[in-house]
Formats: sequence, C-alpha cells, structure tokens
Amino acid sequence: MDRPVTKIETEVHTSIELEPELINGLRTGNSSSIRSVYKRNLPSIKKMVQQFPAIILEAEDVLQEGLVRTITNIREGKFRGASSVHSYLYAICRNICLKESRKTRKLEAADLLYPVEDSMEEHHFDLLNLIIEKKKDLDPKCIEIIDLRFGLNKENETPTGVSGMISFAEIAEIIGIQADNARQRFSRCLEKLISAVTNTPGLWNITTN
Amino acid sequence: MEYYNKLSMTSDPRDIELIERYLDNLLSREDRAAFEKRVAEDPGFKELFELRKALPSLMANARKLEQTRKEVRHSIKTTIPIFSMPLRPAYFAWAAVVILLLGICFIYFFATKEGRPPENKPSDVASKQDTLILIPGEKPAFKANKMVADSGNHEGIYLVLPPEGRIFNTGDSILFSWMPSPDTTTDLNILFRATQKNAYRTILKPGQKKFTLQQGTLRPGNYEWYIGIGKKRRTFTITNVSM
Repeated sequence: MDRPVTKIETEVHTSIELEPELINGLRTGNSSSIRSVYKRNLPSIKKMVQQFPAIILEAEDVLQEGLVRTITNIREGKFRGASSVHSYLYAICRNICLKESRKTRKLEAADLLYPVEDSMEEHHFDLLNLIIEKKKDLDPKCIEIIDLRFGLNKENETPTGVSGMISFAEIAEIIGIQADNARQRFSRCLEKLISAVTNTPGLWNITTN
Repeated sequence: MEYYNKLSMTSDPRDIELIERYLDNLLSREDRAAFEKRVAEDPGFKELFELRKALPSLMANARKLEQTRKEVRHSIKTTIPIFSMPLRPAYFAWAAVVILLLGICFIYFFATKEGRPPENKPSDVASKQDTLILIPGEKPAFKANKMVADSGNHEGIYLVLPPEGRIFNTGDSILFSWMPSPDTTTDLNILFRATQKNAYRTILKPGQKKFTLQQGTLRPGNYEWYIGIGKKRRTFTITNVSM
C-alpha cells in the first residue's frame, strides 16, 4: 500500500525537481530565473543585512552582488550543488556583509562566530571589481589598446583571454600607428592600470589562476 | 590559485614593454636569457611578469563579471515595483524640502498677487473692482460682488479705491472713491510720498464720492492720497513699466 505523501515531502520534492532548472536558468542568464531567485531571497537578505548596522550597503545591493557572484560561480563550475542555490546565495551575501562590516570596524568576537567562507574566492571577486573600476578611470585610448591586446575589444563576444592576445603589428594597423608606438602606448597604459589596482588600500594581494 | 604580495612588486612601463617583447618572442637569444635571469633573481620583476601573464585572464573574468552584472540589473530592474523601494530617511528629507518649496511658491503667488482670498485681506476685494474700472477698453477677468470698505476706517471718510499700495501704469486712468460722500465742499489731495509736497489737488463738490484722474496727469513715482484733512491716507505708485 502506498504511503500518503505529506505536505513537507511534497515541498521538498518540488524544490529538488526545480533546482536543476533554476541553476540552468541562472547559467544561461534567463531573466525569469534571475527574477525568481531575487524575489524569493530579498526578504531573508533584508533581515540578514539588518544584523549589520555598520554597513552602508542596502539589502538590494548586497543581494544583487551576491546574485552576480553566484551566477558567475555557476558558470565557472565552482558551484557544485552541495547546497541549494538559495543557501549558497545567502552564504555569499553574508560574506559580502561581513567583509563590508570589517572595513568599518575592528574585528569582534561575533566575527569568529560567522567566519567569512572561501575568502580566496571573495578576494578574487574584489579584485575583479577593482579592475573593472580602475579600468573605467583610464583614458579611452588606453582602454582601447588594452582591450585590443587582450582580445577584449569585441562588445558581445566572449573574451578570449591569453590565447586571444593580438600582436602589436595588428593593433598598429587597427589604430593607425607604428607597432613600436602601439607597444609603448600599451605599456604606459597597462602600468597605469597595474599601479591603480595594486596601490588601492585594503587590497593585500593579487590573485591569479 | 596563486597569491602575489603587492608590496614587493614594482611596475615600470619600460619593464612592461620588455615583457611584451618577451611574450611576442621579439627578444634576441642573449636578451631572452638576460630576461629569464632577471625573472629568477628579481622577485619584484618576477611578480610583475607573473601578473602580466595573468592579466588577460583576470581582465576577461572581470569583463564576464561586468556582463553578468548587467544581466542581473536588467532582470531585477523590471522586478522592483516603485512602491517596494526602501524608504530611506533621506527620501523624507527631500520630500520635506520639496513640500516646503512648493509652500513658499504658493504663498508667494497667492499672497502677493491679486488672487489672495478676501477673508485674508478684505481690501483686495475692492481692488478687484478697481481693476474693472481702471483699465479702459480691457475686458475684466472677474467681477467683484460688492464693494468692501477698508475695515481699518472706522471714523470719518472711508477710502475705498485705489487700495493701499496699488501700482498703476502711466497709461492707466486712476479712479479714486470714498464713502460716505461728504456733505460739504472738500478736496482730494495727492502728495509725493518722499517729500510730502503736493502733487495734485482737486476740489470736490458736496455729495461727490469718486474722481477719475486722467492718464498721464502724474509722472511715475510714489504717492499718497487723502480726502479733506487726511486722517486716513493711502499710498499708490505709478510706474512706466508694463505690468
């Protein structure tokens, strides 16, 4: 005889069934999946952010950044499904709050109760955000030549990284200057970017894969 | 994942240019050997070299992160209804400032112009009627219900028109009126306000209760007027600026 299914079991079963679909939606950038996760988690993140009165971030900002990091980790295969997406997102948001909170005050006993998880990953995201921020401050010509050299110049294409590096001869042809001049310009621009990133207070190391 | 301490790292455009030549395989055999020796012996240069090699990947990841952020922003932008936005204290402060400014504008326009409610300034009802008479050839925009005397005049003659402080253009004829009509002959006097010297005077007949001063009689300036001995006086101004 079949045992009747309880309400709790039904909810758990539905949640498990929906999880792969949700993860796939986040991986592919499906707007309704992103909205769904955002809506569902906003109340709990609001409550959590209230526990950090020292931080200036709003719950919406924290959740948005947490969602960006969660999706990035899903796409890079760093999310292994050991917990639900929502728990994973919550943990990331909590780490964002903890890091933000520690910027504004000294370490307290409470910090030991809620240690920042996977701090290496957090630093990695901080570094990427710093690169984005500092790159925006550069002269447009600098941004252009750096993007050309690193193969990042095509707006809607996936960046190619190391393998997609373009030679200065090609860059020279695109910009209309000599290859040596292009290399010199690139070197000056990259030096500005590196200095801006490495001289930022609070960034104690630079991570590379 | 490796970590590179930034403290020992130096960045020089010439070093970066050298690294670029090395990566593009443009160095001679000797220069290449010298480069690799420097990498082995100079920790700062080694870190710069390692960072330079890692940068394309880092920047590609930064670019992906930015693209993901745009996707998330775009998705949630349509999610948050305006009424669910958090009400921060700053919003209330700005709302208070806006309300205050609107209030000031309201008071300015309605308390200083002709539209002020009669219960707040009764003599202005008379000023409406005054406008009816004083602008010849122009159709009045409103009609006064009845003439209201200056509530401050409780003895002798009540000065009715023009009301206190009224401004006229040089092209206006000015109607002066008062209540009640005097039983005996008296006069209407207009003085220069600053010097108190007589600017215009006319004898009034017994029973006369109004007088129209033709346009152009007085030059632009500030004046006072009164009937008879002048217990009650009012001021008015003539200007040559179109109102």
